[in-house]
Amino acid sequence: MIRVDTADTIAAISSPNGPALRSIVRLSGPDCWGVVSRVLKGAPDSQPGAPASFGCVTREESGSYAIPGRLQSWPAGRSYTGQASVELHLDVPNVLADRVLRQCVEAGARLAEPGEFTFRAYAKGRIDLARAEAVAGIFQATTPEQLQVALGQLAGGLGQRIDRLRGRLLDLTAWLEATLDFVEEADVDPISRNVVAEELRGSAWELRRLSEVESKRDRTVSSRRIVLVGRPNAGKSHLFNALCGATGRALVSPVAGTTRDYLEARAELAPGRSVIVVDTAGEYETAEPIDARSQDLGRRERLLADLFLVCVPVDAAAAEVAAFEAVLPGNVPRVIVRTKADLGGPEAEERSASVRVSAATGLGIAELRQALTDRLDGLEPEIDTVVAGTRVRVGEALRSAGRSLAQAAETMAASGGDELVAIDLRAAVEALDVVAGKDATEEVLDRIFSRFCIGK
Amino acid sequence: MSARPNPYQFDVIVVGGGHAGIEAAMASARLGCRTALLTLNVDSIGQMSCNPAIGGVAKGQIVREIDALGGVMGQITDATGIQFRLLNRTKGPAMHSPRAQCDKKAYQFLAKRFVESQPNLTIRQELTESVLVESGRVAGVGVAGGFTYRARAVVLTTGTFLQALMHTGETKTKGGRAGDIAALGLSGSLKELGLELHRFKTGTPPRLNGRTIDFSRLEPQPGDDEPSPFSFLTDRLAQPQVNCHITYTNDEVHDIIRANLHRAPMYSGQIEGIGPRYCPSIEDKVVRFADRDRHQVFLEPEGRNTFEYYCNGISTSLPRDVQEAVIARIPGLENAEIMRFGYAVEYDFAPPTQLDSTLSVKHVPGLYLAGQINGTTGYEEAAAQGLVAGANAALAATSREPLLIDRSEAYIGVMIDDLVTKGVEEPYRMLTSRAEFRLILRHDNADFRLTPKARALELVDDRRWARFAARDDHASRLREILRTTRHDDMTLEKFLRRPETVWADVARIDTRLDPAQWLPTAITHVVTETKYSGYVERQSAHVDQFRRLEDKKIPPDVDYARMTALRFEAREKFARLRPATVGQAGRISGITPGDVATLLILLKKSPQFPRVAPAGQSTENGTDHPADDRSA
Repeated sequence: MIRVDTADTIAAISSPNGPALRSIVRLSGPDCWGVVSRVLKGAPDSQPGAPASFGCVTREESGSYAIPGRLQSWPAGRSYTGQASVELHLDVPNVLADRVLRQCVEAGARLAEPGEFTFRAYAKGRIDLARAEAVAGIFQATTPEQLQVALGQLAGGLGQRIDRLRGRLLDLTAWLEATLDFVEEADVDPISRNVVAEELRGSAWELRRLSEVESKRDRTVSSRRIVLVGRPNAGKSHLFNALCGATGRALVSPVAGTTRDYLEARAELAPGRSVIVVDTAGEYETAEPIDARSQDLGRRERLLADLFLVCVPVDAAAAEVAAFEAVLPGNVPRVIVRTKADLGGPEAEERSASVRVSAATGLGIAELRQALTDRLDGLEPEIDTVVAGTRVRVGEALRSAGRSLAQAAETMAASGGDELVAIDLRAAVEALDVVAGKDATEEVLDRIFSRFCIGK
Repeated sequence: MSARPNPYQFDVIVVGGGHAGIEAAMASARLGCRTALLTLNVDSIGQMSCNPAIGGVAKGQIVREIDALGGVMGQITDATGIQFRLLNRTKGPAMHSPRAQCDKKAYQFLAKRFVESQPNLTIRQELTESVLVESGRVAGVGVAGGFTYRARAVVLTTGTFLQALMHTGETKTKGGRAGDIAALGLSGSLKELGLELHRFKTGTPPRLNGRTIDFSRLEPQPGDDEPSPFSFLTDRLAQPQVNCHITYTNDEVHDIIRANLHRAPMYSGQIEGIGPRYCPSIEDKVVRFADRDRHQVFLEPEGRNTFEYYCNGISTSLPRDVQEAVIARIPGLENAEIMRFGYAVEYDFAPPTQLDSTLSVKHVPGLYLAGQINGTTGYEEAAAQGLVAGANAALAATSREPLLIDRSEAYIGVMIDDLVTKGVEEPYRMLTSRAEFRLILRHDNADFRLTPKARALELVDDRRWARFAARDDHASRLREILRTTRHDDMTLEKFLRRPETVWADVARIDTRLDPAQWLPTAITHVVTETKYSGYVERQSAHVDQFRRLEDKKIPPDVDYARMTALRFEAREKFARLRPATVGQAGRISGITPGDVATLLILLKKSPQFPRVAPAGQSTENGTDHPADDRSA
C-alpha cells in the first residue's frame, strides 16, 4: 500500500542492485535539504532556488566514512516529484551508499515505499497515469527496445494519440448536442447524419489502430503496415514474396467476428527497418469491377494501412491506376507499382509517378524498397507498443471505447435518434478518460505503484 | 400572548415574488411552515419579465419536474397557455420538450391567486433592505421604514433587482425591470455577511403593437393539434390556441447594427456584466456569427386581451433610433410601432459555489438563495431552485431531513450540482446536454422520478399522490401483462420493443390491453419505457457507477489544510467548496484525477483523517510549503 502522506521527506537508494562503482541516494520532501545538510559536510544553509549540482563529501560517523560524490538539487516545482528533491551521486557501490541512506534516516528522512517517488509525482499532477506506468516500464526494461517503448510513452506518445481521438469524439458529441438542444432556435444547423456516420467510421479506424498497438505484446519492431491492393493477377502475391523474402513468416491472425483471410508478413526494407506487409489476396481476388469492391477496400484494410502499394501490371491501361486513386482513401499515401515489368509494355509511362518492378527478375525491387522507405519517413512518427502495465488498463479501455463506437454506428444504421448516438459517444469518451487516468480508482493506483522498485 | 399571531414573526421568509419566490413560498407553506412572501410590488407577483413563454428544450422537462414535486408553474401554464407545442417531436421521447406561450397577464393573476389561496402563506408588499444575523445564523430581514421580520430561515429570490441598472444605448436607468425600481440596500447587507457578489447582464427585445404588423407576409407557427399539458394534474387542454409568426433579419439590418456597435453598451464598455452565450443579443449574434445572412425572429403574442407582441430573437440594448431602424427593415414589421424598447439589465448575483446542495449559503446557516441571484437565467430554472430552496428552508426550520436531488434523478439535480460545484461563468441555462443521464430524465416520467420522494417529505398533497398512485398502478399492471403474455414465440414486451409495433397491435393480441380500460398517460409511459429499454438499461449501468462515487460521503468537518498529501490547489478548492461527496469533489474544475484518487485513499485508509481542529488550535503543522505546488 502506498503511503499517501507527502508531507514528510522520503529517501531511498535509487541505483540498481548489483556491482557498480557509483550509487545514488534520492530524497524528496519539504525537509530534504535539512536532511542532506545534516549528512553532508559544509553544505549551504538553504537549498538553491534553481536546479544545481556540486561536489560534496558526507560526514564521517561511527560505522561510516567520508564519502565523496556530487549533489544534485531541484527546488520545489522544478523536480520530478514536484517537491524539493536532492540526489547524492556517490563514488561508492550501493553497499556503502546504504550507510549514507541510514544517516539520512537518522537525520529525519523516512525510507521510501516502492513507487513512492512516482506516486508523489502523480499526486502532484506532474505526470498522468500512463506516464507513471511508463516509469515503471523503464526500470523493468530488459532490452533496449523495451526501454525505447517506455521512454516513448513517457514522452506522452500514446497519450497524445488518445487525446486527439478523444478531442475528435468530443467535437462530434458537441455537434450532436447542439443539434439536440438548439435546433428549435434557428441559428444552429443540424448536423447531417452522413457527417456523423463518416466521423464515427474515422474514429473507429483510429481506435482500431490504437488497439493494434496495444495488443502487439512484445513485438517491439515497427508497426507500419503496407497494404498491397490490385486486381486479380496483378502480381501482388509475387511482389509480397519478393519483399518479404523466403524467410518472411506469414502472420495470419484470425480475429473473432471478421474473416481476415489475408497474409501478413514482416519485410526488411533496409537494415533495421522492418515493416508489416499485408497481401489482400483472397479477399480481393475477384473479377468484379474495382469500384464494386471499393466498399470492402474501405471497410477493411484502409483503417490499418499506413501506405497502399497499388499494383497495376505494366501492360494495363493507365486508367486502371486512376480507378484505384479514386477508390482509395485520400488521407493514406500510396505508391504505384507497375508490375510484371519484364513483360515489357508501353514505355510512354511517366516514370516519376510509379515504380516499375518485376518480381520474377528482381528488377526494380531495390528501387521500390527505397521508395517505400522514403514515403514512410515522411509520415508522422509512429507510436510504439506500450509498456506492460499500461497495456492491460489501456487495452480494456480501448476495447470498451470500441464497443461504444460500434453501438453508436449500429444506432445510426438503425436510424436511431441523435440522443441515442450521443450516449454511446459519451461512453466512448469516458472510456478514453480511463487511459489518461481520469477515472483512476485507488485499486488501479495500488496496482500501478506496487510494481515500482524502491526509489523510483 | 395574543390570539392573533405576531404579524412580524414567521418560520420562513421568502424575499421576492417572481417565479423562484412563488415556488419557494408555496413549498414552504405546503410543508406547514408559517411563511411570509415579501415583494416590492404585490401586483407584479409572477410577472413574465422577459418572453411570455414557459418550457422549451430541457426547460420543459424542468417544469414537469417542478410539477412532480408539487410546484405550481405547470398548473398555471396549463391554465393560462395560449399556444402549446411539444418540441423535438421528431426525436426520441427523451428529447420531447413541452413549450407554451402564455397570456402574460393571465399568468400573473393566476400566480397571484395561487399564493393568495395557499394556507400558511402571508403576502406583504415590502422593500427588503437587509438580512439579520444573530449568533451566526439568520434571524430575519429588515425592510424599508425600519420594520423587522423575524424567521428561522430566509430565502432570497431577488432576480435581477440587486443593484440593478438598465441600459438602452447610452441611457442608463436604475431598476430591475422596465417600470420598476432596484433593490439597492440588500447587496451591501449581503457583502457584510461575507457573500461575494459579481455582475451579470441579460436583455430583452423591443415589444411591438400587433395592429401595426403585416401578418399576411409572415409565416404562421401554429400550436399542436393535440397539446400536451405541463401538469400531471391536467387531463387535457381544451382552450383555443393562437399562432406565433416567424420573420427574419437581413443584411441591411445587420449593416445598421454593425454601423452602430460603438453605441451598444455591450461593446462600448458601458456594461461590465457578462451576458448569456445561449441567449445572445442581436448585436452579439451579428458580431459572433458574421457569416450568417439572417436570423430568425419569432413574434410571440403577449396575451389574448392585448395586441402587444414580443420579438423573440432580437434582444438588444442598442439606442432607440437604432432599434427603430432595425425593426423598420424586417419583413412584415416595416410599419410596426415599438411599444416598449429593448434594454439590457445589469445586476448583482452571488456566485453559487457559496451554496450547498440545499441552496443554503454555507457560511450563513438559515440563508437560502434561489433564481437569478444564483447566476441562472430562465423562469423554469428559477422556479426549480425556488422550490428546492423553499422546501429546504422549511425542512431546516422544522429540523427535518433536507430535500436533496442528485444528477441521476432530475434536471433540477443536474442544475443544482452544476451551480454549487462548478459555479457559473455566464448566466446558466439548462440544456439537455448538461445531463449525463438524459435518457432517464424524460418529461413523461418526471412523476415516477420525483413524486414518491416529495411525498415522503410531505411536499405533495393527497390529490396529487392519488393521481400518481393510479398512474403507477396502471403502468405496473400493464408491464406485468406485457411481460407474461406471449405472442409469436416472444413476450408482448419484446414485441412492443420493435420500432414498428404500436399499442393497437398489442391490444389486438390481448384484449386486456384495450386502451379504453387504462389511463392514456400510463400507456404512453409504458410504451416509451419499453421502446427505450435497451438504452435505458445501459444508462442505468452508468447511473450505478455515478452512485458509487456519490455514495462516498465526505464528512463536513474534514480539515483539508491538514491533508498535506493533496496538492495545495486541491486543498484550497476543497476547503472553499466543501464538496459533500467524492463524486462532487471530482466535478470541481481544476481538480485532477490524482486529487480525487488521493482524497479517496485518505478517506478510506485513514478513518482517523484530520477533522477541523477545535477553536484556537492551530491547523498549520505539517503544511507543505506553497512553493511546492507552483508548478503547472
